[in-house]
Amino acid sequence: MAAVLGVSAHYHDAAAALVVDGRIVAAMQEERFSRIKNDPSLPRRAARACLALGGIAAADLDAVVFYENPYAKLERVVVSLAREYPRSFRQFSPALGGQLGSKLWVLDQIADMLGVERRIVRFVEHHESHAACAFLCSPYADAAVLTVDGVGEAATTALWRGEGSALRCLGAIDFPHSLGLLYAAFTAYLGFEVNEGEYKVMGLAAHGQPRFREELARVLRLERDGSFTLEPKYFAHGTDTDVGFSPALETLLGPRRPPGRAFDLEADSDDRRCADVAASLQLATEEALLGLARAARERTGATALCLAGGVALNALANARLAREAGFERVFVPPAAGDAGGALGAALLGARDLGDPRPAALATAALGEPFDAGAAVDLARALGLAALPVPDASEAAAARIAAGKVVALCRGRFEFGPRALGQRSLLADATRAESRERLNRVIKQREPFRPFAPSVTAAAARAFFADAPNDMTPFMTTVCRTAPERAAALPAVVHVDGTARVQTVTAASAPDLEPILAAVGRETGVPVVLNTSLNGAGEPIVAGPVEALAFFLQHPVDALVIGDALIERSAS
Amino acid sequence: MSTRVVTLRPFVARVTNGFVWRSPLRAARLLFSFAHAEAASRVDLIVAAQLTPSPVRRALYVRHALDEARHAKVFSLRSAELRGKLGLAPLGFVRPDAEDLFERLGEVGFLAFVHRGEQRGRRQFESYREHFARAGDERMRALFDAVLVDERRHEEYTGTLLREVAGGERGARRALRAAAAWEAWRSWRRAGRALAGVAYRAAMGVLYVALAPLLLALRPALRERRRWLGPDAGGAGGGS
Amino acid sequence: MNAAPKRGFLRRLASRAVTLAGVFRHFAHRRRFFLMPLVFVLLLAAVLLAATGGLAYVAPFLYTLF
Repeated sequence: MAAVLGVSAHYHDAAAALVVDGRIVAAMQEERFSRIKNDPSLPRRAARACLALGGIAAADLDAVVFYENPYAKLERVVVSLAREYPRSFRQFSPALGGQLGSKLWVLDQIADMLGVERRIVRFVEHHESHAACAFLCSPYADAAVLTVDGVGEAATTALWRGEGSALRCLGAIDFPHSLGLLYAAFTAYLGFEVNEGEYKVMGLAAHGQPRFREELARVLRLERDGSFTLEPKYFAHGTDTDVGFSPALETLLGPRRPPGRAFDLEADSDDRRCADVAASLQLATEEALLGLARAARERTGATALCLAGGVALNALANARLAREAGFERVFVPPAAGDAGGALGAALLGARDLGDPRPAALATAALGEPFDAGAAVDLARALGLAALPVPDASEAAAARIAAGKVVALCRGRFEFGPRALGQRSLLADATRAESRERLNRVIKQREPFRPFAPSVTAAAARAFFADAPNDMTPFMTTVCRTAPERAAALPAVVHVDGTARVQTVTAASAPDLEPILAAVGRETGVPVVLNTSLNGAGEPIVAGPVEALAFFLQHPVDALVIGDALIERSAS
Repeated sequence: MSTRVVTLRPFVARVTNGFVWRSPLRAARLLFSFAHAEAASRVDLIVAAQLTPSPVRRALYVRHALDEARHAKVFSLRSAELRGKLGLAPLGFVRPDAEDLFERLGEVGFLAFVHRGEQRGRRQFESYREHFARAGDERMRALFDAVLVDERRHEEYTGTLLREVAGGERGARRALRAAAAWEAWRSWRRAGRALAGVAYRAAMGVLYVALAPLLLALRPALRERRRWLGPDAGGAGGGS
Repeated sequence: MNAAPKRGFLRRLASRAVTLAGVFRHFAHRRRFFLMPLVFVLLLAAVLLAATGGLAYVAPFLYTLF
């Protein structure tokens, strides 16, 4: 019977997660509090919020577990500096400065931050924390687990066998051979921001043809045993967070796309080339993942697969794995990246202290709730007419069905990068204008980026092939739209006919389910466009302060916050 | 609330403004840095709104944050426009960084800091506005005029709030002095870190070269080992 | 919301000693003896960092002298 806090920090997406007596109590990313996207700094406020939700003080914690081995990390940094001598000249000073000045001491920083004894602060290996997040949150008693990301301590990819509560590592691929770093380098090549832009590359891929297959084969070589290698001459790995490609890549594929330029896929042939590069990259990544997954299947004989690590955010690839890797079931947790590592670390800590495995993860709503009354007070103080409504879901549904864009802020906020009905912007999926308006005016995104639908689990099969499945409650996969339905959902079906579907039940998204049901009753189509409630470049909204600031800054038609409705007046 | 300080500042500003704003490239960069500062201010104010115990102040901070967001957008758009005219892509997305000011300084300290910042900003922008009015650049003058309306309001309300929260005029002055001292210390630390950084990098450069024989000798021992599904694959665990 | 009270200097020093012990324990592991020279390098780098870090407090003063 233990209380364990898991922490991820210093690299991408700091987060804290609390597991008490084997139950997941809370999990939150620091960016939601600090309002800095992907904030990597120590998750002070997230940790405090987790403890507050659990009703315990830091002194009551039995263990605090960090998601990575800082000593092994230091070793890898030093080894790769030595290995690359003398080419590692530019990285030597900043890399060692970063490690010795701060990152090596993370366990001490955590003890200081929480005011706990240093001896209860421990760590687990990076890929093991990803594996734990994937497997221990899954509904499977027995599964193969693949963790694929940029780089942990030294491993970039690992295969595990999960049985009961146990995780056994069967193999790993080490830095610099990394699918995460490959995708990141191409993200930079295509002019997007690394760790932000990967989704955009995935969205762009569907607009292109994979005509650079051969070139990609020179960059990423697939081996017979399911593993892969990267050709070093195309990359310029800087420090951990600063990945790059070398001029050789530009010679191979053409000049890089300068960041910040607006996209025009119709008029600009160079943009079309970039789309083709994205498509080729996506295909190569998918094939590499398939190779890994097939090797996993062969080696473990398991019928279920769990995936985690940053690369598991590639929903297109996940769908292909589900179809072609030979597994019957596939699960990807809602925060598959480094934030999920905090949860995985906490679960491992709980397990090691003798607590049972938690039940399968039912919902991603693991964040902080807010005071609905205080929200109304703030709205009124800001000059907004906040009206309590008897049925917030009906009110939202009516407006969505009428073609309005409704912001929804209810309950506990989501863990992970997807909005799943707690902090969402909802619109009518059947109107093409919804997409236009949201993309251009409200979220100011590139025109080629698709939006995702949410549908009731019961109705999902009618609209989307292969839905519902183990991944759809968390929007971690894409599904093909049933051809006869695609025309009815222009706002959410991508050019390739797929959609990143969220299937909703009362348990998985308690605030969204009644809205979908009401929309279904009204229009016959229980599907809505669901995108995250945040402005361009900002983290998803957490509480009333950010939600109301968003409402005042962006032209959405209505905001449902708690049980109150705020509408934009005609003026 | 502003203290009247007689300085050479206005004269110096006239000279430097002419230099700074003449080059569109430099101007674009400067405008982008304003956008960055406004965006950082916005984040600080949203966090302050989250953390303040007072509902009245919460709403005031949110309003202020929205103004900062608008300013950030205006500056970044103008910066992108200037660069566009030179055939260059914009300087990229504005990514603010955080200093946790509210938690570090407390609400009184935070208000004093923000008040001083708004005052400084107001003076700076007034000087730019004068420059563009004299130079005949109507658009830029109008831009700063619009921003100045907000800055003056911000300076005013933060001054009022500070007096209220610090318990009167004297408390407010004390808080402002403390904020000035903290800022001076912060600048000192920043300069110190920058210089130390230079010294560190230089020393490490020397170390790197001096280590050549050692590191080159070690290279063979550091070759990549494959761990995929082989016999010595696996192995994980924890520690402290 | 209150931050945790700042832990005493000795407490924090003891904490970092635990981490240092961890570093040595890690590198002393069987397969990593050959990394000991690199640990030596690290120590040098750490000393440099500490020295220049300490310099950070007085450096601006020195700067203004020149």
